Amino acid sequence: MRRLAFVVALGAAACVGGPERGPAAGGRELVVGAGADATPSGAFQARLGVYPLNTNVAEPLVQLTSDFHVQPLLATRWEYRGANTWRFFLRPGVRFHDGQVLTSRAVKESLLQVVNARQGYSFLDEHSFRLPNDTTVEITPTEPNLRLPEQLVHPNYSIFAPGTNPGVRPVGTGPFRFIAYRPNDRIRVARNDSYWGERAILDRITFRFFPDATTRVLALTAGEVDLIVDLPREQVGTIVRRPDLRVARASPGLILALQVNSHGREPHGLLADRRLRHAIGLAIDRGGLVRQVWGGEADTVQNMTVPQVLGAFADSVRGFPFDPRAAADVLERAGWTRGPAGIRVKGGRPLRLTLLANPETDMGTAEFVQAELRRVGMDVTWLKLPDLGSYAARLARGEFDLNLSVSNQNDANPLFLPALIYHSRSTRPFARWHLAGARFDQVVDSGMRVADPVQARHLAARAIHLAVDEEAVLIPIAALYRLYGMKRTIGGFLPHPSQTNQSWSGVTVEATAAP
Amino acid sequence: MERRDGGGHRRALTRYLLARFASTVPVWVGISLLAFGLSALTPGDPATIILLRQTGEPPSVEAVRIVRRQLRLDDPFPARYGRWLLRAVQGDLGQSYRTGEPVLASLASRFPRTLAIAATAMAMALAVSLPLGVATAMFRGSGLDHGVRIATLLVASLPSFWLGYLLILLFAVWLHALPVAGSGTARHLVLPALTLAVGVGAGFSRLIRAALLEELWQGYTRTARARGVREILVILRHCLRNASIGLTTVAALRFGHLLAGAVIVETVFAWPGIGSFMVDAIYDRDYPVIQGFVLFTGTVFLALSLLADLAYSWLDPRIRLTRGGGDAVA
Repeated sequence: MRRLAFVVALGAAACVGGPERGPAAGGRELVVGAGADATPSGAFQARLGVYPLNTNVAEPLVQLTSDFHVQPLLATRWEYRGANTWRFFLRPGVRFHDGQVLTSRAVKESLLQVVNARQGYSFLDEHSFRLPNDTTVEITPTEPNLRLPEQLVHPNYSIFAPGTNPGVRPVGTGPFRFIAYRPNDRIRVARNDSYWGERAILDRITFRFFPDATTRVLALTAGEVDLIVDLPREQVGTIVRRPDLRVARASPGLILALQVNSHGREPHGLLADRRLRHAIGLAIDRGGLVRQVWGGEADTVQNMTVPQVLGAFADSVRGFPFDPRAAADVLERAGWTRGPAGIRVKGGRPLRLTLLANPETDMGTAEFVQAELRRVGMDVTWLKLPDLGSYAARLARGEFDLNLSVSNQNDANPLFLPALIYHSRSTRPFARWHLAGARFDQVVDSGMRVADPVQARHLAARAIHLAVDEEAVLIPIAALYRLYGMKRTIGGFLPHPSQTNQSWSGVTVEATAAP
Repeated sequence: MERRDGGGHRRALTRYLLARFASTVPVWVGISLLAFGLSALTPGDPATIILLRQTGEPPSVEAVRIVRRQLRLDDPFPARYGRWLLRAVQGDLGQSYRTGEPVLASLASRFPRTLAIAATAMAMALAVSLPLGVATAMFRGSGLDHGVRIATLLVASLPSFWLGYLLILLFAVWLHALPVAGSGTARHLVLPALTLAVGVGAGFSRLIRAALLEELWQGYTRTARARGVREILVILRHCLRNASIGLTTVAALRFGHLLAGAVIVETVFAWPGIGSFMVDAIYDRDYPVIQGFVLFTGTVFLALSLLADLAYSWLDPRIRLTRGGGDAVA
């Protein structure tokens, strides 16, 4: 019913080429329709306007390029000093929006806030920082972690003016300065005319929060906003049909995959058998999924992470061909024979699996996977959990066989997801269900100990190859595009595959004639 | 039938009020127990979700343990309930796990917005449903009556999110007369209030029609007609007042529902009221907010119910209060 309403409302909107109206016309203000206001605040040290919605008011030491490399930002260069220590050299002459000068003390204070709020994932504590002088910072993680520069691109590691509260009024060094915030309504920023780098083109940006995706699209078609984030894929046609609107796609930054419970307790112990895991990988028609479910707005990439992060080594992860006959052969050889109603049976036990899906993941994919596995004789029960709380609880208890999830790559560390989910020393409560084995652990550990990023990419690709191609504890399905809808008058918008690293500096708004 | 002098009536009214108020106390305690108990029984660990929301990544066991300890989530249920209830009666509903803000202050800051759409929706609904209800009762069986009944049935069956989209499409996308969504000005109020008002008004007009039709054949109306009073005056002066007793009860309850349950409309129209705040709290297992919300809205319901009871004696002069208080007799 809701989907039907969606289609009717937006289908009608598509038929109307209404006059272009809105705040952007004739001015240099951009109005962005964002999703729900997910800004954490108060006791947990929010990063207002920085994460998860990045309004470019603050900057980290280094930044993530759209091909997932690290490049200088507030640090002009960095070097490995040995003994697990990195030294960062700060850009001279940078001032915060309140006029304070960027110093190593400001860097330490900001990063300590992250440590105190336990928001980081880089093994930092209060003793990790040393300040040789005002423009140099040395950082020593508590555990071997030479991936630190690749991690510090995350906006959570942004640097704020000393003595300010980034949860209430963020004072950073970015190309835009914070103006106002109304919770659940909007954030406004204005150009920082004293920016140390190339100044932004826009005068102002207003980010308005629209929790409902249909309303967000309607706001764009009504001309109330200039650009919307997270355009639902089923609305792409609606936008494309309007002569005044267009769609922009970021290269894939989201990986859709099945995480396998390979260490489950009964009744979730079936996938301890590697052959079953391989059969699942072979049974899914990824091309069909991309066409039928994602309407072409995805790529049949098979990897644990975004391929750019692995660079030239991405191809060493092969993934699974679509071969249902081979899947059936594997199952037969494993002793699972066709039983009543086509469900396979072994020793009287039917081949029944439980599928979990993150409630924020597209549900069409879960249905598709369920149907594909049924075709080769696996009876998959999809547990439709209402919210993130029930989902996380079940995941932590290991009460599942397959978990359909979407992983974001928001930094340049190729070992981020391997270490987080499949390593035996992961501190994440659910990691114990997915462990990829001792060889995998060794390769990941080696990757965390090499300073050379190219070597780290090579080792990460090897680790992922072990987890995907050999152990099949992760069955990749597709890589998803981030979609944006916008007026044709918007120029210079380069969608970043990691939305939290989106830059707004180069965006322009062309004035339109009054209706 | 019992009659009293002015002072006796006031004393009886005071006794009635006190008794009626006292009867709400155990109900209120029951609500508090349900509010606290049900949220504690739901699956999902708030510490995990808080950390997950902050970082976008699954948290470590150690981080979860620290947050659980900070939030005192491992204390036994009676201890947590007792502590919470004691604070609640002092006006302290605790602090949100997600934002760290006091729950009562958060509810109080959002409640006026929800109250604004609920009150506007109720005013719109009454403004349309009263004349429609009267007209269809007066011209029962006519084309107008059939037309209005079909129309009200139709709009009452429309899901509010669907209606919301259609109204946005009409007034914002096509006519550019009103904003699509958001808050801040009176213009932002119109579409969400209208979305809520349509369903409520449809129900009210049918209710008024039915109540008036019942009153139209009572002895007192026949007497009024026999005295030569015009039909419209019979309805407006005599029938409507009696018919409004049922409407008062329904309106009070509907108003309570609007205050507590405008969740979908608030989401569609990006209206930052308490409904959407509650939904976010449920998703994030923000127990203090969930518990505070249930207690807050439960209290509002009790207050509205009490007000509706009191309104009876004003609306219906036949109703008098007994000496013992508590019961009303005709």
